Amino acid sequence: MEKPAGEVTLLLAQVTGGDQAALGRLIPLVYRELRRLAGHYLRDERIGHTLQPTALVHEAYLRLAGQDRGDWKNRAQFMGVAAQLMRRILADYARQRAAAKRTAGAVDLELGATSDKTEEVLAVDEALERLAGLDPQQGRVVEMRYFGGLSVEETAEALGISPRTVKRDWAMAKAWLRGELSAKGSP
Amino acid sequence: MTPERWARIKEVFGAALERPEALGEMCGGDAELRREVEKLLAEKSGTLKSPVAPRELAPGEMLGHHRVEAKLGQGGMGTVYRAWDTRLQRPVALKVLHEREERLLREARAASALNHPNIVTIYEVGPSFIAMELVEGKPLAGRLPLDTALNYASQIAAALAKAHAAGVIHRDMKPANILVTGDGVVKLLDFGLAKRARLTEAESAALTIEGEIVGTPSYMSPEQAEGKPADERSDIFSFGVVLYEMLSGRRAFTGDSTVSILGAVLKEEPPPLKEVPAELEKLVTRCLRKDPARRIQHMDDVKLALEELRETAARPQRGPLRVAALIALVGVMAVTFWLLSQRARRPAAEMRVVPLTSYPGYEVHPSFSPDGSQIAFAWNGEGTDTFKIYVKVVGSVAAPLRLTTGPANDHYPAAWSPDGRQIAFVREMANHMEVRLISALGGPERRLAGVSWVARMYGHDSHLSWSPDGRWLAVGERQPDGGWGISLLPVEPGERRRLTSNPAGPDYLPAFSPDGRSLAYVSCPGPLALACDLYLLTLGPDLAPRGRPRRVSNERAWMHGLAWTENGQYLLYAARRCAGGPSILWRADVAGAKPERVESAGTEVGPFTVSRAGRRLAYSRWSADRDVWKWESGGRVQRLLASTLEEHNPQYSPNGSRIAFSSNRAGGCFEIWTAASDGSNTLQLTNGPGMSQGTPRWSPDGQWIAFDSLGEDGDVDVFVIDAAGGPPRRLTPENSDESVPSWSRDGKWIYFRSNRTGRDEVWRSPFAGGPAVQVTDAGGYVAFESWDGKTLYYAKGSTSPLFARSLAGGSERQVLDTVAYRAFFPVEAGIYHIGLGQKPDAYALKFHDFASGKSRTLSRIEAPLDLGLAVSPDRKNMLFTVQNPGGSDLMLIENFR
Repeated sequence: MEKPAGEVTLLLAQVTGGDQAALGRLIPLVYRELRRLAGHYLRDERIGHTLQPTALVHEAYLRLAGQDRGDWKNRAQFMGVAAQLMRRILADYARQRAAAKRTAGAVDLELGATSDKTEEVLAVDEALERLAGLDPQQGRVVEMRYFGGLSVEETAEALGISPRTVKRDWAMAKAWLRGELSAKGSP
Repeated sequence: MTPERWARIKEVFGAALERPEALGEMCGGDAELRREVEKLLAEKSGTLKSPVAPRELAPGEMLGHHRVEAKLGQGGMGTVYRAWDTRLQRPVALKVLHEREERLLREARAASALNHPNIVTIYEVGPSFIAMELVEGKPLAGRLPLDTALNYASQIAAALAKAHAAGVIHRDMKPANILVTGDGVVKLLDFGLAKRARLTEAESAALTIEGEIVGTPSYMSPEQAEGKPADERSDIFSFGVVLYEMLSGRRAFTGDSTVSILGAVLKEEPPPLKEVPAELEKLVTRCLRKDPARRIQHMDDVKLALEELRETAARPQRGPLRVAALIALVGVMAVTFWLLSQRARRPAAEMRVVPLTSYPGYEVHPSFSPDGSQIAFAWNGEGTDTFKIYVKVVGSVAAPLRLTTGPANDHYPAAWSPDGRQIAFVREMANHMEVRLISALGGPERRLAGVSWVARMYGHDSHLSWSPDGRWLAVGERQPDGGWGISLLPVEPGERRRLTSNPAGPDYLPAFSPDGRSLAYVSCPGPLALACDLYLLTLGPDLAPRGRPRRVSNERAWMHGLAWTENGQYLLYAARRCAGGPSILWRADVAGAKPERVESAGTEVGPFTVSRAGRRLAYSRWSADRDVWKWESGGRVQRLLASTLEEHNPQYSPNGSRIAFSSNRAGGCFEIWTAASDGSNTLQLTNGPGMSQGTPRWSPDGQWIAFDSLGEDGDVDVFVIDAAGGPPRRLTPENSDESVPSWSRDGKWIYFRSNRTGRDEVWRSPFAGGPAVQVTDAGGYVAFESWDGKTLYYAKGSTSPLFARSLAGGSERQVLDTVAYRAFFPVEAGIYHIGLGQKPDAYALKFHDFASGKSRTLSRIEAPLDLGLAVSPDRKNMLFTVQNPGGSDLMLIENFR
């Protein structure tokens, strides 16, 4: 990823300026890097290891934009995009594992302690689809907080809303998701 | 559910969060709305943890083969836990990284090859964790007394110098990475673990990661602050910042924000240090120069400068000063006066270690003069291979005075005679040894007595002890009846007397108590002087034994030294519990309390001496290093497996992907390790069962590794372990001595060397279990089956011809004239082996071709080699062991208590 460093910053600046086409060009760049980084984490994880894409997102940002002095607004924007991508990566990963578990019919040692989390990730992903239909902004908040692991402040920054709104949106969405999950039999 | 309905629920929920009592009012008559909101409110305090949030490991959770016990702390790079290594049964500090970065792990692997008493040992580097030595200590903090600051700084400098010599840069020197144990031993943490910080990263990192401030840039070098790569000189700068802080209690570079601190690092000079010797201040200034090219260039120089400053402080204050010392003293008068006045103000000076000699070769067997101002020792480095006796004034920079001459080895100086006029030593003659006396000023020698044997096992030593009245010398020797014992040699003409008697193994290291009423010594249960313990014999006024000796320790170790403290209350001894393991100085109350470790003496304590006046202890500190090298068929030769300790006896796994070898690189006994064929991913496989594990050999299917293990009784036995780890299984019986396993090509038999006929012969046992069968009948040691499994090749002596015999029966025939170090490896077309070169310490990697019947040289190696030769399955690479120059220097502990 030597070349895109400057490109990413430029694209981020354009996205900040409201250029949706720039977002379209940015996503594949970021996705490729995230995917590569995530691969490192996901492939070798064993029972008890932690998925930590927050750190991963930060790392990707530093790699992609680190050479330039990307300002905070750009960072936040980037975090938002990354959270969206992370959701895709995690959900894909959870689906693959679930499928592997079904076909193998045996205990997937690698899943072990994290298998509950795998189910939860899938359930949240599905519920989030419905939530986005009812309240797109709230859907984005969940995506960033849950899948991106972003803090309230980072989420607020990325979406251009107040931290107070993020907190309220998240409190309700979280309560609702917990209700949805327990209805499905998950914790 | 419609978006409108959802918006309504959200509105009421938000309001109810702030005013729960108003819920009914807000819902009006809409019971359904109220139910929905109440359902949400019931869930509101529940958590929904992001799958990506950093998660902590709970006690009992496993990470690889480590069981987490408790969280110890959290840093920028990861969380540290106390954990238990279930495979090797030992406690570890487990650092679980927040982020997995290949570079960090690679550098941790590089740092894992460092072994130094002042560096926290890295045991293992996993996919996202680092397992390391568990150290009980506190991070360095605040202003320190000058003495302490110099002591800690020397230890830090020694650790960094060692790391730099091995090509490892710390990159993140700061007080938080410097632990100090309860008795003042400094341990450096996190070599190479720092992020490669750039200004922009540093700024953003300080702001971001989980809202946590990641370190402070206060200790960063200017080049690191500018985003340039760090080198040794960056560590020197950071070391300067740490030293500045130890001396002043202040940060050298401060500011309100990351940016302003970095600005200070780049542009500002710290306020001058006050109340510090000028030399020391100059040293700090030279470390803190902004331009790396103008800074002190090597940590070794920093270390030396600090040692000089400490030696100055360590010079004797009164008593007989030799002229040389006096001259040196005048040169540094100002500093010394300052230090002396400091010392006068302090009630109890703290123990500290300073180097006494650092000559080439081995300086061993130190012995203080009665007043503690001079030291006698043996040294072999002054243009001669043999040891000679020298005397040096403690604290003087002058060259030591050589007392003895001639071609023989002179060892074991005993303490000056109690009147300080004579020195006793042992001269090694062709067929016997002699105890001799020489004046402490040199001159003619006097032969006191011949002794038949003096313990000198594995370089561990006997020595001589004067009775306090100066009339007798005690020495451990072989007795005429074939046993061992401590004898008393009369200094004036008279009869030799026998004090102790041990038919099984050596009695040695005699030491008279200061009042002459008892004799302490080491007694061993077998001829190899392993598993020995301390004994105490009470003596009458005429030195006649009273009652039987009693055992006063429970060490079962190799002992390197034994001495009494001045007041006769404690025994000091150096014990090594296993081969390759640390040799540790202990202090044991004669009354029988549990021994305490003298931590500041480190882990390589050889023979030592205590001065009866002046609270000084001097010891010889050993170092030894062997590495595994690789030869490539293109002709290139390179170091493959190296640490600051020893790696030897490599073997390739049958598919060539891994290498097994023996090493003490983790600071313990020699154990079996494995590594990838490129030398990466080293992993400790065994933890015992014996005092030294060696000679690993893979089974043909790669599933098992056979190895030999030295037991406490001095017998070696062959064990087999699953190559993936597990408990080792014993293959040979306990009551005989067997070593050097080797598999048959079909994997059904394991060959080994055994002495059960009274001579070393090759035997073999079925892998599945069953009685052993003798294979050779005219001697044999290292054996390998031919590629077709029909012939056995074997070497006998350390440098011997190579022999062969058919496994179907038949007599022995000689195949090669010379194989050095019994190092050979048969393949389909011939035999790889190590041959002798033209000069001493010159060797040749050779191939003997069956077809032509001739040997050709593949590579010449001009270095001392050691055990083991391995050939990769594709025959493209060979592994062998090279010995690096080792040595032994004398160290001095001042204010010893």
